[in-house]
Amino acid sequence: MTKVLVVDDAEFLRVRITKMLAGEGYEVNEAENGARALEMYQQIKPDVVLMDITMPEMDGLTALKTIRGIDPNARIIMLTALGQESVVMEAVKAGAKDFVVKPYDSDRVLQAISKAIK
Amino acid sequence: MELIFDLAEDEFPIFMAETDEQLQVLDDGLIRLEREGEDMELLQALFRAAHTLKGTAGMIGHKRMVNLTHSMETALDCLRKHTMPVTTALIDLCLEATDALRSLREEVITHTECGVAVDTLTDRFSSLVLAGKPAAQPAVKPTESPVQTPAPVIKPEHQNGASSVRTTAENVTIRVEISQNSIASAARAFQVMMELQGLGTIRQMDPTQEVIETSKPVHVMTTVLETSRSDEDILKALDTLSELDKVEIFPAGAVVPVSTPVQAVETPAVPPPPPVVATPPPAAIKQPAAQAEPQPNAVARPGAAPVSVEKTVRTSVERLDNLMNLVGELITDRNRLYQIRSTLEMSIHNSNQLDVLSDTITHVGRITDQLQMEVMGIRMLPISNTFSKFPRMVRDLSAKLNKKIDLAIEGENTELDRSVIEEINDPLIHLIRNSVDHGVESAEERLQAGKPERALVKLTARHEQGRIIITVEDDGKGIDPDKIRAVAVGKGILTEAEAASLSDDEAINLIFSSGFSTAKVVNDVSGRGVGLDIVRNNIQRLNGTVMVETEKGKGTRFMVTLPLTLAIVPTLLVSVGKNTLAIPLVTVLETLRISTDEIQTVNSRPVIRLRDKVLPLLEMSEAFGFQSTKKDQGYRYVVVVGMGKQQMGLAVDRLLGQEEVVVKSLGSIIGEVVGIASAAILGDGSVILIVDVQDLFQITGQKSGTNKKE
Repeated sequence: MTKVLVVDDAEFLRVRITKMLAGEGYEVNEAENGARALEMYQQIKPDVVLMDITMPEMDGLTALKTIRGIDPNARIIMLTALGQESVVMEAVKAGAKDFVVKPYDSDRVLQAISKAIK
Repeated sequence: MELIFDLAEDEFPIFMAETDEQLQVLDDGLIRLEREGEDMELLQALFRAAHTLKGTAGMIGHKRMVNLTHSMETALDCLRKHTMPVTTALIDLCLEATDALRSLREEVITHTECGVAVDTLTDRFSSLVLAGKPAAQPAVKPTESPVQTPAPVIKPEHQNGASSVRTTAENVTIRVEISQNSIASAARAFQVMMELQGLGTIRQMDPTQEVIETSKPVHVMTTVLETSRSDEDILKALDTLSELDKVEIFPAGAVVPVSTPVQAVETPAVPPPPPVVATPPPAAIKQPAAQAEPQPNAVARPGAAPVSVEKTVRTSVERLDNLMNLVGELITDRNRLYQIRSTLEMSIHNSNQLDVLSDTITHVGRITDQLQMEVMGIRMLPISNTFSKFPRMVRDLSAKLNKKIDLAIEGENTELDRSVIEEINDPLIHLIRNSVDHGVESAEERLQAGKPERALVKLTARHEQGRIIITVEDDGKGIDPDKIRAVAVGKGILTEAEAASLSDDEAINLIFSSGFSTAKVVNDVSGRGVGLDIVRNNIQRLNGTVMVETEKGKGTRFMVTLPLTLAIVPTLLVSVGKNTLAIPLVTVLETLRISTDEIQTVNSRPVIRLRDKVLPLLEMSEAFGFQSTKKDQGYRYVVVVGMGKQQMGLAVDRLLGQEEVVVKSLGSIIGEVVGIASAAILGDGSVILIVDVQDLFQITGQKSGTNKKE
């Protein structure tokens, strides 16, 4: 089963995205900040990470870089919002596989995941 | 018109809890920002809160909430990046917006549009942001037309006929159209570049990498790639990227349509001229690609050991309440088992069977205790849930009253049962309002009295001997007992003689009597028709106490003592005649056995002397009309109870021991009975009454006529 790690400090978003992905047959784990994501990445070895950018403790960009440092093949999709264009560029440079703009529609998220694991 | 949001029933509580939390972060953070000035961490936290709210509101399709949070986020982002200073005007606006967001959040419940004028607020944000940074970059608008680089002319270098399979490296031209809906089309272009770099060497690229890295939108990207890979490989690599509208590959030597001319930005519909020579037609990929098919990942991780990750579950309050009720029943049964055991032990001696039973009962008792602790632990919440609303309240109140007041909070992590937390909110609001309104003087008065201009109101919470102690303290003018006496006489609560006979402490305690308010004018700060008497009643309903300490000119301190939970009360069981009564242990100071001659009479009411104090004595059999069987035995047992600074003795026939009882309401049929708080069921199945000590104080007070006059 494809494992997805959802990283977002906003519980509501995590819950909703988890529900949607679980309904599509993914195995989903949640982390509420970058530091926790890093920890869980090493434990679970997810196939895909959905990573929010703005988070306490460790932000998404730092987490992306750190995880890619540990696992250069890590497939990470950034969850962004309007106004974060320059951060997105930095994320892409750091090896983000894709980015999805919030509020995202389910199809877009599913598409990004299926492309990422191709 | 009914508003409809995309919010499932099971998501509702999460949405409400999370948005409430974020709004609280905004409230607190903004006030701290105003008081303590710029602090990077705080600004980040504020920005994140607005950002998260925006995201969450967006998820349920609450557009006006999104618009307002977006404006606020933009302003906070400027603060965070120091392109705009922190001003009172901005903080006021942010606080106003936070209030508006609360109303907008309510729409999720009411499904009716609240009256908040979101546009006005967003306009005000825009003008503040513009004024704050004249050279501001324009607001983010993904629709802004992209800046075009001069149209390149890609010259084919070879004229070789191309096939999709290459044996040697060739220069292939790849033209990619990026969706104009992408918020970061340049980032997509960058991804295209990276993918292509993995397939060969980029000889030429338009726009150039430097231009792409400026994040300016890119619509069409043309790349000359020196590669030996097939067209299929290239298409496959680019297919892993999202938001590419069209990918075309032209063999070396083909005439590639120029990148969109400057004028034609909006109409890229001109079909590209067919590539020359015999080549396969340009391959085009239509987005969106196939639906996701979750399938076993190629890189399967065989038998991955179960990892211990998430260890929390969500559950409803209702379930916790049920659990608590069940534990309550269990405690009743445990008590009953204890009784059965002692009865058996008296009638059966030297029985192994009985020993085994006795051990088992002891064990069941211990497990029950542990279970009770655990369940209570689950129901515990930090009092910060309540405290967190007060900084904002004090700020607004002090602004309204033109006073300068800081609120200090200590012990906000102290935990107590959620039922108590819910009930304590209103009394605390009132005590704080009281301190701000009546306790603290105006800035001028303070300066005249040689005090610092800014007043301090301090709110603390702590655990002490199985109780929670909450204090509300101010460094204001204190309570003047003479003024209280005068007011009491003026309001006809006491006669002058009665007032004069009161000690200072007794006089100060008059502030808790009904119909007493010293505020000169009824205002909307503390004079809402709710007096401290209601506060005291509410706290006592929770089996708690409230007392006041004051020093003229120095300040006033209210101390609230509360039990950890409302459902189970530790009590002292006493008997009066054939009846058993439970006295909440929280009020019991000590127990005595006195000879009947020690009961004296002062002002025709019975008293006893306890060390250096004279305490009024209430004969419980008389108070409740019970037949005492032990009155003529020559001695009485006395339970000394206290509330605040008041103390009195309760004369009873026998002391039966301590027991934790599960509180049962008397029900609406019986209603309120003076002197009785509620009922409980004992281990032997008998129903007993729990005494309302506050009422008993009033009974003695009325009898003596000094405390209260109806």
